[in-house]
Amino acid sequence: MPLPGLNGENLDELRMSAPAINISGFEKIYRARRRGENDVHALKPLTLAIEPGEVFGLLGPNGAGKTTLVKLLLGIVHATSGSATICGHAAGTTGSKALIGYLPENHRYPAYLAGEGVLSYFGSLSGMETSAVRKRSAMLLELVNMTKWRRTRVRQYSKGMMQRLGIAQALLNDPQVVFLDEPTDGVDPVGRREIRDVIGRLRNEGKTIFLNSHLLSEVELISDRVAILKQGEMVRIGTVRELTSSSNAYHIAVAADRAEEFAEAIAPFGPERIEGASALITADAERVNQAIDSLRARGLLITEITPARRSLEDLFMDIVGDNGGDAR
Amino acid sequence: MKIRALVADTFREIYAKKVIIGIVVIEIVTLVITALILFSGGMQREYREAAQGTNADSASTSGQHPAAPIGSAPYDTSLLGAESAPLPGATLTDSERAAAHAGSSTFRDTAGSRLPIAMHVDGKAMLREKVKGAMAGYAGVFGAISILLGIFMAAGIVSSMMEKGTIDLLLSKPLTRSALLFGRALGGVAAVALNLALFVTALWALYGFASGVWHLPFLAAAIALPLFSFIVTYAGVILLNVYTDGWMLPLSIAYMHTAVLSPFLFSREQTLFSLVSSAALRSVIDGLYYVLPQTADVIKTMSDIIYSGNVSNAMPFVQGTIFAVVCLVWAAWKFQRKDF
Repeated sequence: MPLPGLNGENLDELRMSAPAINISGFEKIYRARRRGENDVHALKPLTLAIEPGEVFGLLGPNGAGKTTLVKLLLGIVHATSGSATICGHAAGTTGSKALIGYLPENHRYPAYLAGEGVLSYFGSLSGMETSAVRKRSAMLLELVNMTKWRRTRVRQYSKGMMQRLGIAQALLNDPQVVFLDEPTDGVDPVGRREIRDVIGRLRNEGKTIFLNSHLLSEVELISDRVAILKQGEMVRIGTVRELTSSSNAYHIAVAADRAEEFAEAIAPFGPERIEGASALITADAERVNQAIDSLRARGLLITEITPARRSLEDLFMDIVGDNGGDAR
Repeated sequence: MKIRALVADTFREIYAKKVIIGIVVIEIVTLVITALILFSGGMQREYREAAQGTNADSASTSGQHPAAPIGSAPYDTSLLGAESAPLPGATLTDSERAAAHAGSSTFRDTAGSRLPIAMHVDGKAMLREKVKGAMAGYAGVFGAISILLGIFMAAGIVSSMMEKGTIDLLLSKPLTRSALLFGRALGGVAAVALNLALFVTALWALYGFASGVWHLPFLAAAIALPLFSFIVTYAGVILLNVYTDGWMLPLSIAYMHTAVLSPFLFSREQTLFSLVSSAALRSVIDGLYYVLPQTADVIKTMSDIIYSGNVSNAMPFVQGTIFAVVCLVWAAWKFQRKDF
């Protein structure tokens, strides 16, 4: 079932159109306010294009500049230099804001309002008609499993319920681009799964999702492309497959009953690890072929040769290291 | 639609705060005490006597307002209407009018005996004068208090909007920063206006039922003028909110100004100038008087309007309007440039 109010446009058609988000040399420097303090380079000049219908994950340690980038795009902070457009409208203008939905990190809603009151309020601020707000609110509360608590005051909500309501709020105006900052923060595993499903459905409907998260496994699961920020600088960008594939590491496995012979045969090729009848070797393609020949010469039945993949977490830790990525 | 939503939400926010209960309790206690006084035997007797024209004190021509506001200058006898607008029923001859103009407090009645002016006028008019005087005095006191309560109600409205997690969401919506700031401010003003209007109307009704005098200028002036002063002071509070991101300092400064500085600046020639002989310092004091909101002047003018119907001094309104506009434009400019 398509998301309420969303029109499922053809993804290929969408991808051929102009970028949903186009960033050109965006930079943010917080000037020192007192003598003796240094300027903080929160975001170094960044150029990036995100296509319509793409789920884009932004990773980085705390203070790497992830939230600063989102806030620049939404006009919450002002860029020191550079520019950006969202669906062709200058970022931060009312024109671009009419096309976006945003779930901020640590968002706060008026505690005296009930869930449906919050949606009614933010729907009105988005310029929606009362009847449209009412209709969409009911559908979205159903989508995030909050119908039961729609008349409960927000002050009684748990963190997870607040996140669910936040997602409903972000989708209220049927946005073309959705910014989600730590969407599963404080949500239990079942809730996380449900939120991932919602994001998946949004992608299927052609929405562009900009996802900020420090939960690497989550980003890995749902993002088409990922960028890693460190100290305000984008140090890596690519699809999850591109980033996690290791160009010269391979898993090789043979039939399980000949593990001993396999260990002997693979030893000259310097395996990093041998586990029973499988091994991980790091070598170029020619050397891997030599290993294959050697194994077959011994009559071993090769059951698997696959490029080794690193997890996003391994990559992230390699890039970020122990010193974190603090910018601001 | 968007601004209406902002105003309505701000309104709800103010009335959802627990502090509003305290303010309402203060107002109800004030109304109850006022009712007890107005409907007490002594006060009712005074009103009866005034209505019968038998209480010479009730419209004294001594030159002092029957219930002059605290700190206000003595009222002129002309405010009683004895000279410029003879009260209904008063029959003054030319010589008596001249005597009244010269400061005489008596004139001859038709039988030739000398009577105080007040005893010669219509009882109903005398009662009206008495009630107007009491209202003018009362309004002087609660006018200042209602400004302080209004600031207390609304001082946190802009700063709470700028809290992390709230401002991010609001700024992501398709409305300009100025609209956001002024929408919140307008909501604060609307909430204070409603509270003030209800309180003053209740007070006006109490006076009306107790005395039979339904003095409409009280209703208009005691709502509009404290509200004007509140808006002017609140504009300054909003500017400070935007600069400090908080409400405590703006609230303290507003209170200091309304309760202490403004009355002293208003009566600077009698108070501050007697302590300061330096011409330069006197110029600074004068400068402060002309730059800061002239709250005490507005309250004095309100009492004058309630009593005489005349605007004795228009300057505080012109100066206040300029002050408010400058503060709001400045606040909008700063808010526009702010990073959150």
